[in-house]
Amino acid sequence: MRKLLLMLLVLSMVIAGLGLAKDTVVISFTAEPSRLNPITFQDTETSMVLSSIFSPLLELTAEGNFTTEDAVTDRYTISDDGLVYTFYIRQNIKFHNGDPLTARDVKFSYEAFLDPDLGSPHHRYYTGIDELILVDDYTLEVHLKEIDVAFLTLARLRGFVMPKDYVEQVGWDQFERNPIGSGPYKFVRHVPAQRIELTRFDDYFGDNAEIKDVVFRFYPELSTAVMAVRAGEVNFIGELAAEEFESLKRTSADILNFGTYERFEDHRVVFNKRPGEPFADVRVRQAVNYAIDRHEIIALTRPGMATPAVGRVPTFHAAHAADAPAYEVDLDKARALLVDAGYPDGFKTKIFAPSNHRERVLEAQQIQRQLLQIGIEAEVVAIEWGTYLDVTADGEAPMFRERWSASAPEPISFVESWHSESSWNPIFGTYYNEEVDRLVDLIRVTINEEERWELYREAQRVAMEDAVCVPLYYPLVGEVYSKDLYIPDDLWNPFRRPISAVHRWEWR
Amino acid sequence: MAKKKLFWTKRIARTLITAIGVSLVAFLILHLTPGDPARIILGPYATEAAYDRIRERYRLDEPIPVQYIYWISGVVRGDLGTSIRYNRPVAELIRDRIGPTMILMGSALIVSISLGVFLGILAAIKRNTPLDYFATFQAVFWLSIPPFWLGILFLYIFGLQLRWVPIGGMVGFTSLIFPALTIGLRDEAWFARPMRAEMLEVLNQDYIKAAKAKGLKYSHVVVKHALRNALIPMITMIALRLPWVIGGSVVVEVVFSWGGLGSLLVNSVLARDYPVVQAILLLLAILVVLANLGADLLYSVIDPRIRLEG
Repeated sequence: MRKLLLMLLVLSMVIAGLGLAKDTVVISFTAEPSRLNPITFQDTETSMVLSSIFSPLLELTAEGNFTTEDAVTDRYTISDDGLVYTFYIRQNIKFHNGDPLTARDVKFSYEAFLDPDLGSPHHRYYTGIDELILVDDYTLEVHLKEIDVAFLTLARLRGFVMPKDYVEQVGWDQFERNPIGSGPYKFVRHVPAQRIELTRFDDYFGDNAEIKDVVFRFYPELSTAVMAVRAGEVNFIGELAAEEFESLKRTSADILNFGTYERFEDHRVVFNKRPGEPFADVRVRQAVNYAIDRHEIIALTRPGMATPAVGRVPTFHAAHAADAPAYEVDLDKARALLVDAGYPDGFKTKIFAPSNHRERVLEAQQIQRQLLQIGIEAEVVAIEWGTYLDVTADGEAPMFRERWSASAPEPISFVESWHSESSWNPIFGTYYNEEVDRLVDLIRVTINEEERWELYREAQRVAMEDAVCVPLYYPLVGEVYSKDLYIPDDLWNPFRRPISAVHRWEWR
Repeated sequence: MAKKKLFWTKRIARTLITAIGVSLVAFLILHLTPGDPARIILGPYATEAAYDRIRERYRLDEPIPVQYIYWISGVVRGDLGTSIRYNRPVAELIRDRIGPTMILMGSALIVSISLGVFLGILAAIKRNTPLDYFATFQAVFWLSIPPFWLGILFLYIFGLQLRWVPIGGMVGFTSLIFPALTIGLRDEAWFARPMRAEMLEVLNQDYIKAAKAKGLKYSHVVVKHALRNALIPMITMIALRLPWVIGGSVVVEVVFSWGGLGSLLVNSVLARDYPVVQAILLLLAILVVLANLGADLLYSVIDPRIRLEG
């Protein structure tokens, strides 16, 4: 009993400690970040927290160009043969523990991602690195095995620069419990199941954060978080569903702010194209494409919050293939193709969707209805995320409702999985087309941007002739936040995203 | 005395067997469910080598019986293993979360027992009056509402509209009120009806009539003579109800962002964090078995006539 009282006492002291004055911004997550480790993280929530604690090697502008502003690199050069990247590191950067950040730390961070013992899921992004040469304390040369135009994209994204001395001193386990970076906020504490607290780092090399403290609070139930933002206990909802955005806009326009931005992301239906499957036949895939009405799907789950997709690269990007086959609804054509393919009466199949993404399940049901019109009976299988990953990767799902978030700014990952040698190829139902392989190989080594964008478009045209998947839409993401919170305009785009630069938010 | 000793030996042995049985069933269900922790932790795009490393580290590549033996022998030595998702000792995770869950369950039980007993007595002594009907009505009412929905409703009214309590989280005593009520009111309904029945039965006994005939005050008769006897069967009721309190707290913890074992359990199941799920299930099983054991013990304390038989 005494213990119980003691705990209650501690709990009530927490209120006092939380005192939500205007020097704190509260961000809600539905999932708790598991491990605050740049090497091993996998979930969006962790990346959101880490991006405030660490600094990237390079930053992106609102237009998707590389910039050294707010980045660890002061300037960088690329050799004429495209094989050597030289990074000149800023000399005034301090880690949160006071240690200076040098090229040694950058080298160490790359090596950590490459270290097989640490087993990073991001490992494959760095396998193109041949050698890392420390020229002096503030200069690092990265030598690539072959030209790779996507190198900076990948090097930047996961380029959380980690403190070598600190990690070596305390070990990785301790590091992830008390992560130290050089970003605008430093880690204060992680109260399991409750919250993560960050506070302003006053020796940050860029402009100091406007708001002193950041608290990430966990609400496993989104309805609770929505009520909390309406009550002002939460100031920003991380990863809000489109559905909730719409309903909040209707009910709470007077007390909340709303903003949208495009994401570097596409939604599609993937086919299992392995030999023996009905979808190994291009005519069947085309028939499905002709039967699916994307406009209807968007109207169902994200009215006004998505653009119909053609090909894979989103509309705002120069590599978007507006002239790729779009397969506008044509049921007669679809039926004729099925007859050609030897399925005059249609067939039975399954479409898988992860049950924790309600909208994907709803869309799968809509697709089920649409396919029924051409005689295909698709059973909707909504399964929990862990099982979904297993089933789709093992080729047990004939069709599945996928979402792909690409690393910006190079759109390579949209087309890379089509390459027959790509390790992603089997995950997305396998695909082989000699011409697509050749185009993807060319993209990697074509330095001229205009030429490269045309190669992207060509690859999408060819692959969509093959009806490799059913492109559904490019989403618009809606964010909801407190009326008196100001989030700068240049963060509302696919390359920056509001949550990635909390240090630039302000109370107004 | 020897008989008593035998009774306890038997009971403890039975408790142990139950706990092992539960751990075995939990282990099997978990491991036979599709879903690979390595893939969930690293996401779909890591290399095979990275997946294998995790499988190897947590012995997921061994046959299930071997995994079970590794696990249970660790448990016996006091080692619950390491969480795959959090990369922290399971014991540490449980230690962090068990306090909030105990506080929530304790408060819910205080609410349900005190209200249940009180309303049960009231309904019995005011039998067939509007008060009795009200007690019945409210019991059916609370039992019919899904706790998930009731929790959201409480938050909406008292958190968002009236601003009396914070919306979710564990920020002081006020955070505790509605999660405890959400679980407690439902269980109160569970206790009030049997309490009324027991009370009615006891009130009809001869010794109550005798007490009344002696001219004792009615309230004295009810509290001193009837209540104590009516409470005995309630102890079993409460002990039997305990697993439900725990089960109910899982949903309620999620709705109220209450950082207890329940929400940890849900997340760990979704992430196939086997060591954590196994440990929590084992712990809950032991708790339930202990509660039953405790009920037996209390029984004999309250009513020495009750014979202890294996």
